[in-house]
Amino acid sequence: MIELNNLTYAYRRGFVAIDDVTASVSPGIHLLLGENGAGKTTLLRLMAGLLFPSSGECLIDGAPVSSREPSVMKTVFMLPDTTELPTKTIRGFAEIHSRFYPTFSQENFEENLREFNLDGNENYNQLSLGLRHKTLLAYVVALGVDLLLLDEPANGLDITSKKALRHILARCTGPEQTVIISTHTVSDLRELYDGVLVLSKGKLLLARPTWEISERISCVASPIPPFDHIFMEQGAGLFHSIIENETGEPTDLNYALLYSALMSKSRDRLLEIINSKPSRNQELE
Amino acid sequence: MMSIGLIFKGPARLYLILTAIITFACYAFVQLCIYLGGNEISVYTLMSLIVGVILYLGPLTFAKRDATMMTLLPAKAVEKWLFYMLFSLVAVPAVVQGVWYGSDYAYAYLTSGEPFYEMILSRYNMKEAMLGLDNRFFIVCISIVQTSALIISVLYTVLRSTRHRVIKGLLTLAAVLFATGLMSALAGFVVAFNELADKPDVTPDQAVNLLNNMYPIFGFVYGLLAVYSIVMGWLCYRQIAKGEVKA
Repeated sequence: MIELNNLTYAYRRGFVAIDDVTASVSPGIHLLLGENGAGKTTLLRLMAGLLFPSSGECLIDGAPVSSREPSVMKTVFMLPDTTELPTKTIRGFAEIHSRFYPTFSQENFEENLREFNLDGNENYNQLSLGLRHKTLLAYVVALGVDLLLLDEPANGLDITSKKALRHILARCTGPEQTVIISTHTVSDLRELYDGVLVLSKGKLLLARPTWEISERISCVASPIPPFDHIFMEQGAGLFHSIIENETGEPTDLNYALLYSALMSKSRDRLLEIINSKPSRNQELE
Repeated sequence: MMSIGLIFKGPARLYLILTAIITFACYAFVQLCIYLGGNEISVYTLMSLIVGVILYLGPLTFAKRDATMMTLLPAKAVEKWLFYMLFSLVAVPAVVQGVWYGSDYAYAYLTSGEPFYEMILSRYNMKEAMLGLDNRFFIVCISIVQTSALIISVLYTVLRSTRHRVIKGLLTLAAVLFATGLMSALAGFVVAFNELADKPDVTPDQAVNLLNNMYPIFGFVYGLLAVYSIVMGWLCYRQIAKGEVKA
C-alpha cells in the first residue's frame, strides 16, 4: 500500500509543485492524469525517493521512501525519460543491475523481450529512441518491484508495441504490486487501469479505484444531449456526457471525458457525486 | 560495494587501461629523451603534467551515468560513496604509480642502469642539503593532499552535475589548479616581500633562508587543502545521500 500523507513539495523559488496531497494507493495499475505543469512528474519523483518532500511523507508499506534505505529502494523503481546504460546491451545491464532487485524475474524479462520483438543483445547506443525505450520497459517491468512508476511509457511506441506493452503490464503486474502510469494519451492502456489519480496545479482532485467511479457515474455518447448530464462535450457528431449512475452497476469509463470534466466548471459537482458514498475501504474500516 | 563496481565495470576498465597506456607512453618518452641526450628534466616535467591530468580526471569514469538509476540503486549511500572515492583516490593512482615506477625499475634492471626515480631523488637530496629540508615524509604528505584535493574536486563536480559532466570536470580541474597555484604564488610573494623589502642585494644564503621561512606558509596552505579535501569528501557523500534528482 502506498500512502501519501500531506505531501508537499516546493521548489527553491517558492513555487509549490505538490500541495498537501493525501491519498492511499492500493495495489493495481493506476492512471495519473493532470494538465501540463500539474506536478505529475514531481509526484512520481517524490514517490520514488528522488526528491525530498518539503513536508509530509510518502510511505511504501509503512516505510518512508525518502529515507532511501536499501530495503525500501529495492521495492520501488521509476523509469526515467532518458537513460544512459553503462553496458553495451540490456542483457549485460540486466546481469549486473538485477542483483539489487530480488524480485527480478528472468523469465518475465525474456518474455517481455519476445513480446517487443527484441533480442536483448542489440547495441543499446545504436538503437533509436523508441527501441531504447522498449528495451528498458522490457527490463523494468520484469523487476517485479512493489511500486513501479512509469512516466509516459507509451511515448515513441508504435501501435504494435503499445499492444505488447498492455500484454506485458497485464502479465507481469502481480496482485501485490502497484504501477502508476502518468500519461496524456489515456487510450493506449485504457483496459488496464484499476485506479485513477488526477492532479491539477499541484492539488490532488481525485484518487479512486475505477470500479468505484464507474459505480457512481456513467460515460455515455448519444446523438442528443442527455437531460441531466453533469458534464457534456461534443465531438464526432455525438454528445459525450457524464451522468449519474442510478443503477450502481459498473460501466466503462471514458478517462478523457472524466479528465475534461474535472478540468471544467462541473468539477465540484462531479467530485461531490463520486465522493458521495464512502469507498469500500472506508466501509470496511 | 562490489556490485556497485560491476555497474561501472566497462567504463572503469577502459579508464584504467587508458591510464596505464598513457603513463607507460609518457615514461617511455622520458627514457627516449635521456637516450637521445635531451633535457630530460623539462620533458619529465611535461610528462608529469600529462600523467597528473590523467590521475586527477579519474572521476570522469562516472560521467556517463544515469543519475536517476544510480539514486534508485538499492545500496547504502556510504557504499556508493566508498566506491567512488576508492576508485578515484586509490585505484587510478595505484595504476599510475605502479606503471610508472614499475617500468622505471624494470628498465633499470634490464639495462643495469639507475632507475630514473633514483636519479631524481639523488638530485632532490642535493636540494635537500641546500634547503635544510629534513622531512621527506612532509613532501610526500603534501603531494598526497594536493592530489586528493584535485581528484575530489573533480569527483564532486561529476556527482553534482546533471549534464556536460566531462567539460565541467575539466573546468573544475583547471580552476582548482589555478587557485592552488595562485595561493602558493601569493604566499611566496608575501614572504618574499616581507623578507626582502629592505634588502635589495640578496645573497644566496638569504635566498635559502627565505625559502626556509616559506615552509610554515606551505604547511598552512596545504593544511587548508587537507581540510578542503575532507570537506569536499563530505560534500560528495551528502550529494549521494541527499542529492535530489529533478530531471
